Amino acid sequence: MSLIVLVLLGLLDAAFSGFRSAQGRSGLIDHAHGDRAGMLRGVRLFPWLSLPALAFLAIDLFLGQDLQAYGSSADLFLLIIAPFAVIVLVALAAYGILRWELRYLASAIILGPCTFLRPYVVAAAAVVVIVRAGEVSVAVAATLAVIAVLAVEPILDKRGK
Amino acid sequence: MREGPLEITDLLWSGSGEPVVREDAVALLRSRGQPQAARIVSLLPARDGVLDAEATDALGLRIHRELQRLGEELQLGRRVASVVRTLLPAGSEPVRVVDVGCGLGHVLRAIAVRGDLPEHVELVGVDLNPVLADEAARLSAVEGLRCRFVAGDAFEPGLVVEDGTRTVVVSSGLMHHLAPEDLDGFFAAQARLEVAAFAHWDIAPCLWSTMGAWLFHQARMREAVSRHDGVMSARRAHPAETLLAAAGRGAPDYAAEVREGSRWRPKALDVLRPLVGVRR
Repeated sequence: MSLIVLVLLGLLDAAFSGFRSAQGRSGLIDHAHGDRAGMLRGVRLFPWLSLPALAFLAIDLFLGQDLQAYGSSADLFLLIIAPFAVIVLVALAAYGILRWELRYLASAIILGPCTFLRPYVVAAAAVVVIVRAGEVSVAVAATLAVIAVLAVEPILDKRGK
Repeated sequence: MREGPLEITDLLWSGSGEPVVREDAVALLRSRGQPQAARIVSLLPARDGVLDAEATDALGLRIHRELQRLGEELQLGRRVASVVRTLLPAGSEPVRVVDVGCGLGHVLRAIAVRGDLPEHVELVGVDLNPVLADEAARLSAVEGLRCRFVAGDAFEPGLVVEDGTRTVVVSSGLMHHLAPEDLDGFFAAQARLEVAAFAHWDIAPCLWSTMGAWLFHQARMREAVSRHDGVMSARRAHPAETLLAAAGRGAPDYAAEVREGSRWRPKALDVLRPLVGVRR
């Protein structure tokens, strides 16, 4: 179950990465169309970047690895990043409903700092999972998955130049 | 040129349109104790030692588009409109709001899109950099907006201020580009044109704004120049006392105030606060 939630969170994060990468591109005031296109680009790119992790996982399971090892690691990963994800989602909701004078506070206090912290939080979660699991296969899969998550925005940024 | 640390964008275009020698810019930044900025400039494309004008203009546009993103997050258009609305001369005759150093004209275009100011208010943006003014005009045309943009010196009589008594001058993020000794002249120029009022937004300098600028530019900006200059903007911003003293000397006929909270208990909403002057 946690593995599925993590994949969904990865897709959501990829959409946000695509959104961020689409910002500040056209100079237009109304750039909603570009934002949506950016989110789609992120969602489309993520599965491709996840292929190495998924392939490794499939091969490892095929060779006899117990799915439970990955399941418990996914539980721990989710436990670490879930509070972070909830804070971001609450801030996004606040951004959507607050009046304009206060709206930017959601961005200034939470969304901006969280964007900055995001790679560190994801990497820290991976390190904890790898140390706790103590298995090379989990370490490789977690590292490949984290690379997939963190590579979306830089790749889209590079393409957008 | 202003003493102390410099923003890279202050060096990329010469005011006279002369080519910019890359090594000169690098040496100047090194002499100001800015090795990181010098390294960034040393990597910019150049031909025969001169900064490639086309690439520099393209970089300038990318930087200002990124900057617009922060303006959107700060709700800058709405902030400006909410103050300007209170400064408009009475009556229904045409009033002109002039945005000095408008860049890509985000503030005026955002106001125009939402119709945040009354119909009789004409929106005019002006920037010394013709590349930015032209792009602002192009974007405005694409968006079908009721505002116009011109390149030049905003305070040259007749360029954008024709009837000062029915003109409100605004800017955002401009004043920190001026040296403290040039601020008097900045306000005096507006007083000479007898503008009805002015409102100039800039960063409130304090540790929080510098830290916030660093964090936000790391998180949001893609260009190394943007990341560097964003932090430098906060470091170079003028304290309220400096701005008020300059406004008092340069435009003594104006009642001036800086609308911000206490330095020791900064209000989160005051990160970018206006100095407002109204002709007495």
